Amino acid sequence: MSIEQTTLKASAAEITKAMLPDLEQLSKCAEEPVAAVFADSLLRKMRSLHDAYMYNPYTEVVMALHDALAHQNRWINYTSKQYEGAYKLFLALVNQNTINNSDVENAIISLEHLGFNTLPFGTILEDDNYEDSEQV
Amino acid sequence: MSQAPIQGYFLDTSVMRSLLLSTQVYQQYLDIQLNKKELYISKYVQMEIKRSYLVNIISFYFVLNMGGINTIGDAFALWSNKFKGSELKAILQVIPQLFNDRQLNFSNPEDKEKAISLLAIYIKRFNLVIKTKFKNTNDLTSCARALVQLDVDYDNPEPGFKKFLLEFRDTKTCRSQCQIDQFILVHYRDEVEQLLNVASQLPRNTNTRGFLNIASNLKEILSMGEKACDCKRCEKIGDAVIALNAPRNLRLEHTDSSFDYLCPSINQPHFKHPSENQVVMNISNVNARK
Repeated sequence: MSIEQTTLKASAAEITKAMLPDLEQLSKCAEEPVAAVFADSLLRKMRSLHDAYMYNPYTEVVMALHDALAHQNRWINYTSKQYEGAYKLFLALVNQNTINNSDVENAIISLEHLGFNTLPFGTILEDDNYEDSEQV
Repeated sequence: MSQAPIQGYFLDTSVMRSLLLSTQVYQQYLDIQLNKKELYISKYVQMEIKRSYLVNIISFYFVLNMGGINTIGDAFALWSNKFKGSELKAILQVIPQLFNDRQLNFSNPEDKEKAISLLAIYIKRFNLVIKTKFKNTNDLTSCARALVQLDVDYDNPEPGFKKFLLEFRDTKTCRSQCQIDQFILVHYRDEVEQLLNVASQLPRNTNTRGFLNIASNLKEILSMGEKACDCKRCEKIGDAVIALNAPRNLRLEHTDSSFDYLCPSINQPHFKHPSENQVVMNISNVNARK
């Protein structure tokens, strides 16, 4: 007799929900050394969500926060109040179970308003000298 | 006569781009300089950001997505070998950061799919942020390219990206829907003639060259009329369009020298910021003296 093993895959909302305890802890210990424990746990869960659901509305919001936190270890600079805002935002999203494009956009805008830089990637831009070229 | 108080800051494309894509050091400099009042842009400035950056990252998305490209590294190698402009090089400096933070392996074919998804998410987010981060002023050019929508499905981003590129690059249709001719030839004709008068009295040197090139194109539009107005020429007179389009109760924030000649004669308050290199160099010099 063969034994079939069934693995239930957690939904994107469930994986997102699993991030809430880390965000809650970060809202209590932001800017302290111990925050690294929860930031590491949070970033790992965020990446596992992207591994499992590359094209999903929850992934899109989660990766906005991921980029804001992961880039140049900026998780260390954000405050308790900001993490609390993120916690409340994601709590509301997971309670919806399904979210649409409008929810995604509003959530990313909310993250920006909370002060999370969701576009943290930068470079020294070359001086905008197209005006100085000899074009007529 | 005293000027009316400034109600906010109106961002030129170079300053808006820097707030989105420059180094943390320069962004912090700009944040400090621009934190007292509301920030504004026009749809035209948004269009210039889309033309100089968004179109390129979407193009890079399609390079990465190609069947013959096995890894993230292959896509960067192709891009760096074939595309040399400064705006194209920005892709090579910004996008690797996105993939590095996600800890993707540039040599592993298995990570290519993750990179494609990540890039699609980033492009959508970038488009959202440029639409919502700053307040919009009225765009008297009615630039139709600025109004081209980027609508992307989660499961299948390619058609949405392709539709955007096709519509944005359809400059003939876009030009048929905009008002740039009325903007230059009617609405701001007097101001444009003033600018040409200023240009006629300037020597040609490093500082004035950009402004004189703009003036030369404006002169051609005045002499040839509507048929001289197309998206290519509009690109060449972009700083003049931005200066003329800027509300006079907002201070125009810029880094380009051309605005030093464009703004005074049309009574547009303005402020020239040091370039990113200058700010970074100043900080390095201060640190070296410590």
